Amino acid sequence: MKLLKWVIGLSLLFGLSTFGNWIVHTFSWKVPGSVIGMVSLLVLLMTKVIRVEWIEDSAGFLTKHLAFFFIPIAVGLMAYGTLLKVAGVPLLITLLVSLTVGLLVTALVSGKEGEAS
Amino acid sequence: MTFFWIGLTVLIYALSRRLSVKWASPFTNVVFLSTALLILILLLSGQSYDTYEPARDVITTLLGPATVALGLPLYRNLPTLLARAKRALGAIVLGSLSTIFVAVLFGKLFELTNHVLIALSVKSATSPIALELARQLEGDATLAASIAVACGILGAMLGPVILTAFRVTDPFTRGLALGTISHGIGTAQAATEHPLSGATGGAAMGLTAIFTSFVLPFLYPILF
Repeated sequence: MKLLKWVIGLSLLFGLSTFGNWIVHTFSWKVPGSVIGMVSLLVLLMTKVIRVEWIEDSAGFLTKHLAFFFIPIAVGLMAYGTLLKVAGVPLLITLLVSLTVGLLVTALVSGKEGEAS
Repeated sequence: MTFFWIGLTVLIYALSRRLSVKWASPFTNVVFLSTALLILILLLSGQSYDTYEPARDVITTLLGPATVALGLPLYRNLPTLLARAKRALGAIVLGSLSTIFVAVLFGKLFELTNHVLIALSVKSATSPIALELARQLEGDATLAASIAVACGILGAMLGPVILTAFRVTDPFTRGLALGTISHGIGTAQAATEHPLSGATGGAAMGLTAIFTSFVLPFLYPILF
């Protein structure tokens, strides 16, 4: 039963990811296919076409370990050693300052729980 | 050899995860630590990134389904999200705009090259979008994707510390900020903090990607 749920869950997630990529490609939208897949999953859950029980194990596992899937892409940074030697410090400062400003502006506007929306 | 590198990535990830739980710090951030260790191993064994590429291709096939899976926390937290939708949308728009302007401004002050400036302007969109946008703006696509990744890692490492320092404790807002500024990698970090943060992070990541790709062509004449 557990295994069956995993098979169904993963197939649905794969299917929706492929569907998202197909939509983006066909209509040349500038959104990642996976984001379209994510929204599709939300809609299918809201309309009860997909039941939470079918995907909770697999989706829970994948989101818990989401960070893992970014590691190989990040390893690709090793090809940019020369850029870091040339512009590493200014680039790092620029990234840090823009990161801090962006985070704080977002947090300030979003506000705290219970504040009027 | 592909299996060897996949296995090694899993092993290093599991190790990094343990360390990050035991000693939580920016430097034990899972993506940062695992990436640093893998690069170190590749360099020490005299290998280039080409060696690792087949393993990357296999692992990133699962990135799509893993991102789709964020639809579940999104569904579970939908009432909370809708109740705070107005401010959240405003936060995503102003957060993305401010990070773009500050990044390009500092890049110009430091006299970084045009390709780097374009890459900086798209850094908070998720990397496939950054890549595509940079191509449209006649920048360097792979450079843009790499700077987006670097921005994601830095945000996942330091974002939680910065937010805590400024007393931002609300899980809704923390996830929103991490997803807006540091896309998927920030969202992955947010998801480890709180399920609600994972949900708002996922929503913010998607909306930032849409907003950035829509607004950047109009900003381009002002920025450059």
